[in-house]
Amino acid sequence: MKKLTTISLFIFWMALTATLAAGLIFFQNNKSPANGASQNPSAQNPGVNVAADTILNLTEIARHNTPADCWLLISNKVYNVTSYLGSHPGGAGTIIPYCGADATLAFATKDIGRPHSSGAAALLTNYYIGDLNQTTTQQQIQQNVQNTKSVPMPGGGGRNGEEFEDD
Amino acid sequence: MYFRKNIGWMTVMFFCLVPVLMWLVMSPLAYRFFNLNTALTSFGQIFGLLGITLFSINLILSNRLMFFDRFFWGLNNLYNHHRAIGSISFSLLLFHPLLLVIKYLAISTQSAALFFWPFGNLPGVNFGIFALFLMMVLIVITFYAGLAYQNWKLTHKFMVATFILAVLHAFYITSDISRNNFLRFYIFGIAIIGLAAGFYQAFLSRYINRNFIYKIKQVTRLNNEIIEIKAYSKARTIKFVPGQFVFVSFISEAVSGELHPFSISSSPHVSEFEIVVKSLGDFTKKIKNLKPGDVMFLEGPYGKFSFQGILQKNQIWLAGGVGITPYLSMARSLEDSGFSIDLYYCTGNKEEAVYLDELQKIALAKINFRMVSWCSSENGRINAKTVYRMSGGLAGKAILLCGPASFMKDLKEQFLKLNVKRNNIYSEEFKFI
Repeated sequence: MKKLTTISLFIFWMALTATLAAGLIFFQNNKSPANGASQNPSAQNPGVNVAADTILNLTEIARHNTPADCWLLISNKVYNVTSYLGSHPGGAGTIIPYCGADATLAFATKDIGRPHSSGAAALLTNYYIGDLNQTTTQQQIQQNVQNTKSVPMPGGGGRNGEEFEDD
Repeated sequence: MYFRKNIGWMTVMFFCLVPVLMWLVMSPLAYRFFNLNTALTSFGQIFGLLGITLFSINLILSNRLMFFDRFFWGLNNLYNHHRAIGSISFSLLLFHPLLLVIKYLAISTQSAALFFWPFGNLPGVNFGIFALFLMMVLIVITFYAGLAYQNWKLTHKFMVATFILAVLHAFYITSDISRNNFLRFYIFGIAIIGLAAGFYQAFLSRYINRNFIYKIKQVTRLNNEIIEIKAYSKARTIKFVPGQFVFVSFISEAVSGELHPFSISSSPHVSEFEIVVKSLGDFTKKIKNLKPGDVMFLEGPYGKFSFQGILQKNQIWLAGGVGITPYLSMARSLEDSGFSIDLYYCTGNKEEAVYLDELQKIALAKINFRMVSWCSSENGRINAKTVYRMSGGLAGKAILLCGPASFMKDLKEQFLKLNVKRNNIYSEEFKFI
């Protein structure tokens, strides 16, 4: 058991030192966040008339109900949080049940009666793609969706506590 | 027998399994493990959950309850479990932040570095950081500093403070514990019991556990190193099984009031209570200065090491040096109830065999008790083959070992090589640190 402790301690300090050193060395580099790979918007939904009018209603939102394509309705605004799922401090598991649905209450209370921080609310605006029942075009939606994919990842410079919770 | 010896471990496993199962069912696994990032975070969470559960259990097990002594097959086994559980819990808690930081590494190395920086996070996270580093210091002291028993014990009391920080961390952050009522109450319940138990053991037990009050009647120096203490009680006397041990603290000008474990060497059938002490450390060197009339408090009895309760009536007792003490109690109380005993009294030289005369007298008086005196200065260290030859085989016999650690370890290995079953070898390894 002493061996287990020794090995664990060794790994811990190696990882800790490496992380702290890397954090220090790459301090400058972090200020320019890497962008996600851009995709051709029209390639995403072939066969859809991208120019036709479409309504951003509950039916439309409900179609995006998977971890690979996750829209949320929060306070009558629609967000595409797909690219954010993996970074959520509460784990993706807390968001996924709300994919394609109204998450207003869940966002306001985190399911446990405590609100999200203002930082989290600010972060959310990056993933905004439209208002509920807004009339727009598929092309516009896809453009907005595309924009959310290149949102600068949280934590690069500003810290708002929220994203540094344990889970 | 296997079940009886391991039921303690199994119970610990059960109490760990409950929160893990709850965690597994409270949210679909597909969400917890849908990509590498979330999978690592999930492992980090479960490590934390298991770590705090084991930490709580270990504080509970730090108590020398009579019940634990029986349930864990002797206090020495309980302490072995305590060591193992402590190591596992500590390792899990070390990996807990390492697994959680990976999702920050995916964002930027800077945010990952800040995650480890104390004061840089929410209070809940900081509690965790402080707890982990305090725990690290205490574990390093335990395993690597080689402190004297009393000093180490003092440092180890700070584990309670570590635990308070760890519990604050567990309840302050948003986590599965805060999201699930069952988990919340389970962890809270086990943590409160652990905290109460740890606090009691660290700060109160030595004042409350003074179960038996004895007065020293006689202190005899049997040779340069070995001191025999005889005591009596006018109040309640201790009831024990020969082979058991007690924790003793003295009220005397000669020694400090620390608690130390000693085997009982007197027979349970006589009112006079006796322990034999070998001068080894700072504390035991002062024992010789104890005087008649000094008070000693006894806590116990503890231990499972006894010829009674072993199915095989044919037994071989092997004593190394001062390891003779539990056998003294056993030999003195041995009655003709079907037992057949070969006692090997192994010492470095003849002068160390201070109880030789008395044991030879017992061997003459009791036909079911034979004694072999063995001096390593004359014959070399005793080995299992010699025992095999002198006792006429080992089949169906139980082997009891008591003595220095190397004595027990070497003989145990040799007996196993001679095809003695592990279950037929009984020993009481003591390792406090």
